[in-house]
Amino acid sequence: MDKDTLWKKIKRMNELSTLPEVYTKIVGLIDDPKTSAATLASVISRDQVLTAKLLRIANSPFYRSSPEKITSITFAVAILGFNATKNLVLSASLFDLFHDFEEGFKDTVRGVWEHSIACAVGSRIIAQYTRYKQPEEMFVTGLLHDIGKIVELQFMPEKFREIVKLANDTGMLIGEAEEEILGYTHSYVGKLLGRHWGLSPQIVDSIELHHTPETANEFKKQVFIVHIADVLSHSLDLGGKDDKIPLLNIAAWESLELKTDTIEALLQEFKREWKDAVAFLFPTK
Amino acid sequence: MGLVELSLVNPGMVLAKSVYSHSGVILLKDGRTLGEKDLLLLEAWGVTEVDIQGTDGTQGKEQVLSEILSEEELSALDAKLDKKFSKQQENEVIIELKKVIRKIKIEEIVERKKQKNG
Repeated sequence: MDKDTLWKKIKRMNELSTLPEVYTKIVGLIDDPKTSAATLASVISRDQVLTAKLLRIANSPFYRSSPEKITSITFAVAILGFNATKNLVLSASLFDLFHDFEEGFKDTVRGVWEHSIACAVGSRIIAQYTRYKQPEEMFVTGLLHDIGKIVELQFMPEKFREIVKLANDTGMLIGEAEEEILGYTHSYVGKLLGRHWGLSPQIVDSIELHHTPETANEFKKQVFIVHIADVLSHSLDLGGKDDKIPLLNIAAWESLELKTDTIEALLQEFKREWKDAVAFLFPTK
Repeated sequence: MGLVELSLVNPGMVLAKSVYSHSGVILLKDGRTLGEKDLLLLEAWGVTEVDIQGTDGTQGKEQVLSEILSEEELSALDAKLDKKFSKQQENEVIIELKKVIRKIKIEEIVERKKQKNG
């Protein structure tokens, strides 16, 4: 599929349309200076399914948006603020995307999903280690970083299977195999989708540049955090079957001022929280 | 003496150093022969490693480990890790990362074996 066709398909797709609807509406409200917390909360509360989902996630062991139990959307908006609420809505909407897939691809999707959760949890932990002011924004960014793979799986599942096979057979990384077969990578596809959804530019940049952090410009810190979280998720084998770790950009590591002697504590925390998150989302496992 | 991970400590081993809680209270004194209950106590207090008499640093750890993991299993693990890290440049961070991942993988194998053996 060439890039033009891909872009046209992304713009027309229905499968992933639940996200922009809810999300766009809420982002519109949040960006409007006239919107009060009460208005925002009442708009969200009208959608009961979303409300239930938001509360469930806000109080989940891994999202940890607040030390207090969040019992209502009004409380959530008041205690979390507009931005964190926006990220929460985005996370909640995303959790649905990974569930509807045909038999035969469920394991692959599950792998991408588990890896995305790992990257989300890892990004949040690294954000805390590096005192990034909005850890929940990094959570959702991590969750989205490989969304391009989900698009590929929807539009061209057979090609995706070829890509994985090529990577396994030759020792290439997934991105290298994608270049070979498609002429572009999941980072590029993810960027297109992110733009189409109207995600914030720091999230779009982090999706596009998580394998090439050296090209980051405006949002270096966010891109670096997701990049490191991605490398660490692969190192720990958290989700998916991938026997190679993408190249760690040492400049990104140094720029975040992460200390070598904290690696062990960070990884142990990472692994523990990932397990909690997966157990929460897939209770049967 | 040397630090041994709690998961690898067996009853009958002797503490080379006293174990303290985070607040500085002595949990178990040096010279104590560890019993089942002591191990549960240490686990409950979140202690992850203790100093054991007759073991010698990392070498000691491998010695204890070797009773659980065979040479073949260890070298299979190392081969897998080499492949995993094949795309990486050699630097301080990667060396430490690989070391920690190796430790975690060994823990996972030990854990799996323990579960298997009931």
